[in-house]
Amino acid sequence: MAFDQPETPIQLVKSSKFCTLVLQQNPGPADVDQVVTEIQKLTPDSGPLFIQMQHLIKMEPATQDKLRAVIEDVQKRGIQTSLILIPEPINPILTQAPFSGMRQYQALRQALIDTKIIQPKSLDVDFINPFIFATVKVLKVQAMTDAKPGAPTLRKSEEPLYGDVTGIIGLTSESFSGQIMIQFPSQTYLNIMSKMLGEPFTELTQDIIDGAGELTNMIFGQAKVNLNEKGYGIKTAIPSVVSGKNHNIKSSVETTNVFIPFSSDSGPMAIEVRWTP
Amino acid sequence: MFNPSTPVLVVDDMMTMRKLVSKICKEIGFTTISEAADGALAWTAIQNANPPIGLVISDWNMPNATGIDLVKRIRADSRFNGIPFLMVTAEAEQHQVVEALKAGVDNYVVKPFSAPVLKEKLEAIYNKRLAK
Repeated sequence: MAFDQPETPIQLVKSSKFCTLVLQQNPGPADVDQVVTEIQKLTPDSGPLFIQMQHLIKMEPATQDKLRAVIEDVQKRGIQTSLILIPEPINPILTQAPFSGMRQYQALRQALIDTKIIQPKSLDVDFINPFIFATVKVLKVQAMTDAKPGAPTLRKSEEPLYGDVTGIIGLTSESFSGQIMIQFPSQTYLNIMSKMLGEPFTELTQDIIDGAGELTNMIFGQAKVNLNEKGYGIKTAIPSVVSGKNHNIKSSVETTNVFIPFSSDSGPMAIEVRWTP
Repeated sequence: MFNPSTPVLVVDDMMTMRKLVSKICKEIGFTTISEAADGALAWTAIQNANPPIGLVISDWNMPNATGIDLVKRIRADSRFNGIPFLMVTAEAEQHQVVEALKAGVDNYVVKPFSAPVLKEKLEAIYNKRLAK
């Protein structure tokens, strides 16, 4: 994929599975003319055509007319078209590498998912992996527990949470919201707290129950660094703890729930990441 | 390193974290350790402590007054502004480390952490501020 910012006001960027018509710097009719021949060569086998522009871009009526005719012709020839809007005016520095690549990648990736060129799984893995790595690290460093993740599965919100103690923390950003939870059967939790605090615990008491929230907070903190470096913009939040047999946490909106079981030398446990776009 | 009799105040709203940090402080050798559940309670404890608190180890995100609120109050009060302050927090992003340092913390530990890491940070604080 070519993500370098084009130097001309309008440019067709081709890749093996799709093409992107990148508009910037207020193109004129002559700029449209320069790419018409290339666009006319596109066929349905070229894949969809993404038209990427800043939503405040200015265009004279003559330019709009020409562009409309070109795009309508593309659509008549059976080529799927999608618009990628860059929502706010771009700071000039963002039009230069390395920022230009990052900005276009995020917008383009969602368009690729929506047009089924790539599966959302790659997005999920990107999002979930930092939580898995953080869980392994936090349990190792803070609770001297070696944990190994199992295969992630999708889980329904109606199902009771796994185990007896759940630490939960909100995931909030400008584009989505959700929760990260760490779920323990009581014996696993007691084993972990015993290792972490250096004294044996045999029952769940108020003295140790908030530890689930703290472990969740640490996992969240570690994963947040990684995800925010990728531009997710996750905000700081405060953890809480829910406990009891067959407990559940209900959300008022439908969420995607990814459940990752872990085996460990303190016993089985799980993390669950829930989010709504 | 700090004298083992230095009064240490451990501040965290999570009881398990207070237990954990206090346990590590004991392992390091400190003998006088007290705890507070948020920044506001810690500020009261600092004002009333006798002998005076000689080291604060505090969380960041807490109700009533955060760790940042607490360190700012300490640094703004001539009676207490020399107290060494270690922030222990899950907030690991670079801009947050900078914010904490600007507020006046002496050093910063990101959770999860081990006893050797906490000891190393305390030694760094001592060497920087108190070693003669």
